[in-house]
Amino acid sequence: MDILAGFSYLFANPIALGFVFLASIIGVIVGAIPGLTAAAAIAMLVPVTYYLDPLSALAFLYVIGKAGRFGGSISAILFNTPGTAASAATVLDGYALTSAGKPGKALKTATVASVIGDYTGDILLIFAAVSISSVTESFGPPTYFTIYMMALIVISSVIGDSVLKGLMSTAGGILVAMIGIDPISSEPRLNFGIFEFSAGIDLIPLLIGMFVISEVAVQLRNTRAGVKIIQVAQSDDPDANRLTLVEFRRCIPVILRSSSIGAIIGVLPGLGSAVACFTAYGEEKRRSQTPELWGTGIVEGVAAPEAANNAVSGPSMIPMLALGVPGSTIAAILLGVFLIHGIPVGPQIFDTAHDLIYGLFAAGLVGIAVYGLIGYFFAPVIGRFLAALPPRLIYPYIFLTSVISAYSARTNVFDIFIMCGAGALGYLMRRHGFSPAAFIIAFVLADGAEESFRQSLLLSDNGALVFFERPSAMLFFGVALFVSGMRIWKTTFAGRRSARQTWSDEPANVEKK
Amino acid sequence: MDRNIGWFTTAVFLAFGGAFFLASLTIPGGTSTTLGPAVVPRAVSLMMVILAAIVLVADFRTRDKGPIKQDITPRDLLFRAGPLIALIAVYGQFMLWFGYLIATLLSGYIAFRLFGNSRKASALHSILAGTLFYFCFVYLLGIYDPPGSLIDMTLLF
Repeated sequence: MDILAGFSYLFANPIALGFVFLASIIGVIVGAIPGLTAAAAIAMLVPVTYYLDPLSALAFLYVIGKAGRFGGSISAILFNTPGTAASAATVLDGYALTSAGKPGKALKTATVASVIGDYTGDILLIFAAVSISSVTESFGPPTYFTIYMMALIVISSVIGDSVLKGLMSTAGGILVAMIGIDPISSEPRLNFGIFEFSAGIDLIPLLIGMFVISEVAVQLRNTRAGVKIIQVAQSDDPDANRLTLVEFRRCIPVILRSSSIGAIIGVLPGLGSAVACFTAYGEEKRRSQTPELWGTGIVEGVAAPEAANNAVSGPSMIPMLALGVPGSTIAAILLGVFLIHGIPVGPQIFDTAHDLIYGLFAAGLVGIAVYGLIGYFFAPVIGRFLAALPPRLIYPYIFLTSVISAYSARTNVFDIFIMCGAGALGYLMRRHGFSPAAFIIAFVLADGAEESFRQSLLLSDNGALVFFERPSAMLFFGVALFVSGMRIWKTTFAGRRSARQTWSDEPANVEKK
Repeated sequence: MDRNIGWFTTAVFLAFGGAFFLASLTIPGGTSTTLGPAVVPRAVSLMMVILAAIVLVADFRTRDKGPIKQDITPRDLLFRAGPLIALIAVYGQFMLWFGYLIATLLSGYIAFRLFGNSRKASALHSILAGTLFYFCFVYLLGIYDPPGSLIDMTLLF
């Protein structure tokens, strides 16, 4: 019944409610801009929330994240370009439907699947976060250190092209987080003789540089290369642009299974929507009696990835709320916003900020309904609006917004130079298979990980053995080893299989020549 | 100008790790009973140097064996991404010299031109963006407009 109290807390704050509506609109539009992720939009809009009450600020950013994930499907379906990585699998059948003159059907399927998926994820969040937090309240520094280690190991091994590059991205984030003052001894460190480094590096300019500036640089490359959007004629069939009841019934089991996959993936730190959408798409294609039709334009092929990627949204907040460990980039930004408003995050948050947290959950549920209505009735209009706006005008405005957002985080011009460096590094990382997301999440986790590591050793008589004495700590180490081991095994196995394939293909190629 | 220099990112990481490792050597170490502030940065930067060296060697050994998904060419760095990234640094410097409004007008014009807009459209949009952003962020949200060291526009408003 706490969620009802959350609704009353939200409805008692009309400003917060207004920001939920605004966030739904902004999220859908920004998500639909190719290349611009929900995390990037949130990073750019964080400065706006400094002047809002905590509920309005958090609800605004949280709902942008949700609506942005859905918005990515609009450009995936209409322009064959996923607005976000989370919609990459939607392109396969979504654009095929558009090519067949049925963009309305694809957009309505995506909307229905996204809404059901998002509600599934939020219901899991509301019930699981409180239950998990009641267990994690008793955790001490050694267990916390193993949780941080689990998050860092999982993130570095599953994000990006290779485990080594993932580890390097994670190490980069940790090192940048160490710049400034040591949290335990207050000793200055790694400031390279630059005075401005003494206060450490702020998350916002780093985040905007890594995600927004690097994307604008990639888009500058594409704009110069002349990447064009293809316009497709619509079908005359009245059923072509609506989701029929028969199709909806066919999609329901697909949506429910994919939502469950997305919700489970969402709980694990670092995996995120992109992994969820491909896992759900692959699983549903495998289960299908007509797998040969997948990719040719069927509604199930749109429903599966969209339900899964939106189901990630709620559960990805569980590690942050129950443990104080952000498992995604959006959670990392929200953690920063909680701290800006003086609200410490961790399992105790359900006691110290009970109304705010349930108000935020309620805002999420309202936000889903709002973006669902926008998507169902106005997605084609948003698509046409974005198609009419040339990228050569959109991206310079995004560039200018990024600069003022980076500056306003601490009203410090030096942060613009930080964003510049992060943008350059982010661009190089994206072009060469490194992971900016792993870099940012590691940056956020590093301080807590180091603090819990050193506190554990200070409190311990047994030295490093303190990490192996608690069953909960061993469990988290076990999860980390299992996930990274699976990834290493999979990449090695896939690599060997591909090498064998190449060897077996080579004589045939030679013969053909 | 169009050859692939994908190894460049790994080399940047190697230099990055090396710089942090050298800087970590100047941080005071811990005592016999406590870990000092140098332990984690030193260990992580050393790990980064080793990993970057491994990836760099692997990149060179496998460079001709197959297609590379992500490519970086000198042309990208010098004529596409490079100027945009450099513009951010110039923008920051303009803010120190002229304050937010003039810096946005000047940098906005260059940004619109970089994306291939005409001189007229670039001038129009930079004025529109500068005025709009100044009104929203400085006037409405009250974000501090830094007084320029060469031209101080804050005296006018």
